[in-house]
Amino acid sequence: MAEDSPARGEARPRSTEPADRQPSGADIGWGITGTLLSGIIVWGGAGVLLDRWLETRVFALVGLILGLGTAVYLVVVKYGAVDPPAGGRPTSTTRGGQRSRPPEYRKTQKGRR
Amino acid sequence: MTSSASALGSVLAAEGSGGDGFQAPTIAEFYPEPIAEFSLLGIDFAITRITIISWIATAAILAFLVLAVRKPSIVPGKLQYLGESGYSLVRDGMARDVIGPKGLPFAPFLASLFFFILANNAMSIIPFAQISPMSKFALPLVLAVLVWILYNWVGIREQGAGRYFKDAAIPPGVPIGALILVTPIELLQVFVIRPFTLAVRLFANMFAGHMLLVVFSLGTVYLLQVGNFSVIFSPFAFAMALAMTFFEVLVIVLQAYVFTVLTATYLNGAVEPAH
Repeated sequence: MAEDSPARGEARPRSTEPADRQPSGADIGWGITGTLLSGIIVWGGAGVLLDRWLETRVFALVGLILGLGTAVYLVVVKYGAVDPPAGGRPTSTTRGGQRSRPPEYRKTQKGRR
Repeated sequence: MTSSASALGSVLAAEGSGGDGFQAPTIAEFYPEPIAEFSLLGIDFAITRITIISWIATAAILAFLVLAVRKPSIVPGKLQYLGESGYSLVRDGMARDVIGPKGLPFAPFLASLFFFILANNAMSIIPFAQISPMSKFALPLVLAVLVWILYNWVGIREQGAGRYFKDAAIPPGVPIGALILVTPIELLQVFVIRPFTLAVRLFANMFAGHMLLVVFSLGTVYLLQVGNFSVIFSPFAFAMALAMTFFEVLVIVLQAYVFTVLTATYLNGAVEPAH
């Protein structure tokens, strides 16, 4: 399905090409959960270790908030950029007013997986 | 004596000894007494009821699949139809549609995974077994580690180690300055939390499902012989146990499906360069 499309370059943003095979929703959901968890663990953990080392109490909280904030940012960057043409109304039309590729909402469920 | 039976015994005993109230099932449900114990090369093995249930489930699904394809005919019989539609669900729905054109070589692995998990999950409602081996964390964990090794190996083989780890560590669209904050999170997410959640999801669903069934079944028995007006609530507990059993059917199939489809998604990320 996707083999006929050219290999993706490094610099190309991901929104230029609607993915033919959408990753399953479960993957996105758990990816987000995992990212949030990961952010808290990594930077909160770093804060706790820093606190142990310096015998302070602030850095755990700072790290926790920093990690959570970064994780939210990461979630927005990774999953928030919805491909604009894929989900919305078809804007560009070919002859006959029909898009050559069926819009996302008209695809069967099988084709969307 | 099964652990559920001993829990039932303690419910009845508590009632006999003047009523300490309802004895809720504990985590001891999942640690039945070993039937046989032996030590091999310094590792202690304990064969419990759950081990044997796992063997039975595996043997049963193996027998089913062998019987289904032993005498293949153009017009499939019922058994062959069942086996083939199960396999084609995995082959077409996951290997081909999720992984893509390079996915077909993974179809046998995914199908084995799916049927193995399905059979083991199903044991949670098969009478007399009624506990899924997947509700012991070790089994889903081993499966998840297996999947983890596979998709990392495939990713390194297909994309090269440098490219693969770079894609995992550096999400697109993040400015360079933010990478120092983002990269550790991404690495932990992809290489630790992802396989861990894969295992936990399956384990926790089967664990909780078993717990629910035990609570409502024991509750039915307890309320039935409690000896006061609470008896009238016993049918409700029984209805709940029944409803939860049907709900468990859904969970059994769904969790086997989800585990396999997520494996396919991760393999897709490995065979194709990530976005």
